[in-house]
Amino acid sequence: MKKRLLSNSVPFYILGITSLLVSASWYAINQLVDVGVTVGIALTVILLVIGYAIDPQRVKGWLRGRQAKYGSNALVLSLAVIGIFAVINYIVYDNPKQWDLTEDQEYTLSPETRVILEELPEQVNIIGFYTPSVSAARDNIRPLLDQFQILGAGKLNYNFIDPLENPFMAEQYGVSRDASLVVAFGDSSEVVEFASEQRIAEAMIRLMNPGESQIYYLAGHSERDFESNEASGYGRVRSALEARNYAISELNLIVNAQIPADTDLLLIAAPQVQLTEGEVELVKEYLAAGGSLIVLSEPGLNIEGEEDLLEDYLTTDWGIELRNDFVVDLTSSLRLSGISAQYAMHPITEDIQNLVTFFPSIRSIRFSEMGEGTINRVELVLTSEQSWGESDLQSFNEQGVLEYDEESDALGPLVLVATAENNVQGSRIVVFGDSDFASNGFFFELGNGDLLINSVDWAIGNDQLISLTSKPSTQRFVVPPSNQTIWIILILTLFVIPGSVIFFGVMVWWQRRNTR
Amino acid sequence: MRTVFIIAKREFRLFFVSPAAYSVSVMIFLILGGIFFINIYFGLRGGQIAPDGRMVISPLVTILLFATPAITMRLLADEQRMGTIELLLTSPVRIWELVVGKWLGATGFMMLILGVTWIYPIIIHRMTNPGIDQGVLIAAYLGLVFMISAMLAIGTFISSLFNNPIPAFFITLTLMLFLWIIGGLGSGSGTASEIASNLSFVAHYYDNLYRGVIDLGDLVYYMSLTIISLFLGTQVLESRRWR
Repeated sequence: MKKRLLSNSVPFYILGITSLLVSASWYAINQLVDVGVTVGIALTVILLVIGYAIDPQRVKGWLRGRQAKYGSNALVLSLAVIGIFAVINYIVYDNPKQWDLTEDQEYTLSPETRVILEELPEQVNIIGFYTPSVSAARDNIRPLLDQFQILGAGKLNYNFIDPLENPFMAEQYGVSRDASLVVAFGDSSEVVEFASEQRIAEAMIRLMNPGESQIYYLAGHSERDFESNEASGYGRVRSALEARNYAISELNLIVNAQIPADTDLLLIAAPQVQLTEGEVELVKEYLAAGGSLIVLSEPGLNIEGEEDLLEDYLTTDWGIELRNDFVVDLTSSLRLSGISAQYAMHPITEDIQNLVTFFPSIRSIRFSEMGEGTINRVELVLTSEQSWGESDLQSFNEQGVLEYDEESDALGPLVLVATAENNVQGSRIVVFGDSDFASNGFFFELGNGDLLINSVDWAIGNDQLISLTSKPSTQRFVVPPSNQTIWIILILTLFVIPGSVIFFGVMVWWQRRNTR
Repeated sequence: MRTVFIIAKREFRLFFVSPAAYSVSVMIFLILGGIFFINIYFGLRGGQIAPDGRMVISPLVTILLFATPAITMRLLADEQRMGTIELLLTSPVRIWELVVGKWLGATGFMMLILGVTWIYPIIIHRMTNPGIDQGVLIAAYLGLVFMISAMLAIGTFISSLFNNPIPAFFITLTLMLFLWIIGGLGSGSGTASEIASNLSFVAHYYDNLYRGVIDLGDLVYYMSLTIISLFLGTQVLESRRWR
């Protein structure tokens, strides 16, 4: 009986130590003493006391005698070895070294980025804001950030933060989208969405060469309110632009009849009243001097018969005509919205090729005939072929009739957003047939906000600050094997390889049986 | 050192008369062959076969989780069960030589199996124009070599704790599963999660080596696990002298 009890005390010790380890790891992960930790520690004490109570002799034996001496020696030695390797691992973790074996050097940074990293004047921190639900995206970006860290030679560090756990930090840096990076440099920082080598390098260049770009938004015609947090306001546009280090202020051309010299971009967001002749003249002069303009229109703004001077200017000088219609697509789930079915290959839409944008009530755009000139126009966003531009607003408003009229309505694909660039003057404009899509209510929907922010970057010329040496990308394809080859593969992989192992085994067994 | 190789050689030979080793290798080749053929066959039907030599590697990593405990379970546990360990302990063989030799023999056997699995990438390579990315494959296999060594060392250590292969198998499996899933705890943020994800057995493989990037930290991690496990195994056998 004594003997049984002797051996029975051991499981209590094992369970006690296990419970201690579990509660310790629980504490390490949650960083707080909660019920689980308390219960775990209490359980540990109870189990150890029971172990001792069942068999006090054993503990006394352990503490004295030969076993204690050798045992503690072995324990100390083992802990020392584990400790040494933990330190070695930590040192290597802190000083990473990698070799890229891929044929196309997929994980090697381009020479241009290396130059930037070599010349870092001060400490740069890259913070990744990833919730656990996008941990796959986080793991995908890690090798790239590792490369930045290695080449940054101690001047660049990165870490990941869960924005759900740390909402204040995300807010502080102006992060609004999951899986965003923040490049922080001294006191300034910039949010990088759609993280890539190009984007991070560009953000670094911008941060290293400060000098904020100045955006003015036109006011005085009851335009979208950039201070408003209501659903129709443009407060989110403002904070997204500020997070990208743009300075943004109001401009009232009626009060002060000149466009400031520091203007990098003029934003006209859905004026409800027409611009005066003097104002349009100022805009004209500003663009002739190489300025940048973004116009966001809205269907039903201009009253028939009345001329809109701004729209006239866009038509005559830029060949971009806003039609008096609204885009309808009965086959889509948002029937009265313009939905992007196709993007042009353009810096603005490069990131969001896989992301739809939609415009609740939008006018379509037509490119009017223009001779061979200096203006380069792009149909940036196009709708599907099933859509059309309903021009009969009256019958829709009164009877709710939606019918394609061959004579007056334009058939899809319709242009929703257009860009134009004057190659001589260097001016750039982006014209949207809608302004709702970027209002607070829709800004975070799909690619809506990104489309506007990217347009601002492009219009100001803050994109493509660096062109990275493109890497060769080897195109590989599998030549479909013939049926005969398939049979050979089947026989080889499923029969010959396992079969020969079985055959060899039987042979050995047979030999051994006979030699016995 | 010579003793290590003598023991390793003997252990390596023993695998060729071990029914467990044969079942493990037949199982590995049947599953891998099946997965490979299904991928090719249905890939053809769908008109798309990925030109990637790593088709069988992720299933192989999962199979190894179960296969290595089966290979290592009897390494030292059997010697203790049959009492032959006493003979070895009293012979002029040093204990670390015994442990390292046993581990090396098992590693040699697993490397042989790993060598045979190279046939699948070769088949894909021959069907691909202009051939698969060899660099990625080399890094992926190098990672496997280091990972298998670490797994076998853990198995050897656990085997030294028992007189019976069955508990050795299950404890090794449990320990590996633990190292497998610990990375999942690292999906959050903070120091503890960072440590957890750095302990993960699989993250060290898939994050870099599997992509074709050799990271010194990953190799050091597997080497540390190997050396610590073999050291602990030696300590356990050593303790038989004074227990």
